[in-house]
Amino acid sequence: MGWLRKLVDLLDPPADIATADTFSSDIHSARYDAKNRLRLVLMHDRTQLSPAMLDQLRDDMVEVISKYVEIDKEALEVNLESDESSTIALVANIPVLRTRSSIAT
Amino acid sequence: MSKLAKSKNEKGRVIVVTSGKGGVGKTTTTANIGAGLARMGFKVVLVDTDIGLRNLDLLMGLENRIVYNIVDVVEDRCKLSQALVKDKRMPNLALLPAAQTRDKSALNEEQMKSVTDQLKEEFDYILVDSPAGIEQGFLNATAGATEAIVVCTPEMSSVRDADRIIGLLESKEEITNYKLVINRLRPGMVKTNDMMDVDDVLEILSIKLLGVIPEDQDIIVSTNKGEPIVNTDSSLAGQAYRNIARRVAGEDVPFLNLDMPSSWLEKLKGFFTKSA
Repeated sequence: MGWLRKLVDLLDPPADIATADTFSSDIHSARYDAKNRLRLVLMHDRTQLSPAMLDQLRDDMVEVISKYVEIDKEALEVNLESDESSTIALVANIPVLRTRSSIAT
Repeated sequence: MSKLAKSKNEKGRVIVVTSGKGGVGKTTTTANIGAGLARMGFKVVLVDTDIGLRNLDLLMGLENRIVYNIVDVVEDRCKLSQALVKDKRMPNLALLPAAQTRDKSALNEEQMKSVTDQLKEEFDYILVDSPAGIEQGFLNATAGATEAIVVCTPEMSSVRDADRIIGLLESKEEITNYKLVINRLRPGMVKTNDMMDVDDVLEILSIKLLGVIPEDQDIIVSTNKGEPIVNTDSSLAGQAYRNIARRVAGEDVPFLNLDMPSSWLEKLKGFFTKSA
């Protein structure tokens, strides 16, 4: 009977993304895209930090941190993230290669 | 005769209907919440602040009855009472029209506040229809208001603009209460995951929900006839607006089930699922 259930789900998909069955098409649905894109664009809108400004911030951070430690510049990530309570935070991941012996002058 | 005439000390509630994005249903929402409240017996005035692009008169079917408008009032060419257009079909309802031949600079916030202060003495509800945008029109519309209704559709641009508007409303101390109306929802598209649903939008915007209006062709028909859809008993959108009016008046009304009527597919699904 499983095939019949799958046929029914195909013709009339479940309404709730969270309980979406094995159909990966739900994850790539327009609704899912809209929600994700909106979350991201609103974080930038609300903090007035555009993706371009974030890139600039990243470059500046690389410059400053490189004075103290050698970092993997390609792997450095700076992103805006928000949690369930809608607080937005700037989150950076800075892989360190090795500390310099002295601060560069 | 106003069913619930307020006491002399009580002033009317000034509620601005705004959105940011154009074309999402502010004017339709203003007209219908207003008509809904008037049907319940309240004294209601609708104020059109879209100077230069007025439309509230059209939605109410009062476009031929306009003699004076809000700019005439603030420029002292007439008294406020002369500018109010009374609706013959709904005696509790009046319209203060916008000027059609001027623009948003013809009115400022101080003038707007003095108009709403006067209206508060006479009416239970003053519903202000805001134009699209965040410039002078929006500033004028929100000038005298203490409450706001934000209208958006479940679409990206509309939600983004609503977020901006909510941010602006948050910074206005005088506006202490604001809620969301989601308009033009298509339950069919939600089911196929092509459109965001009510919970998706609420999660993103973090605002309280006032009501949801389904997409309904009857709205076009009623606008063409110059008749608010709350007066159409058979319309689902009309029912939704009537419920919203009741909630504005303080009643606790459960949200309508907007799902499509049961089809053979639903019944077949029920056969296979363990529980509802």
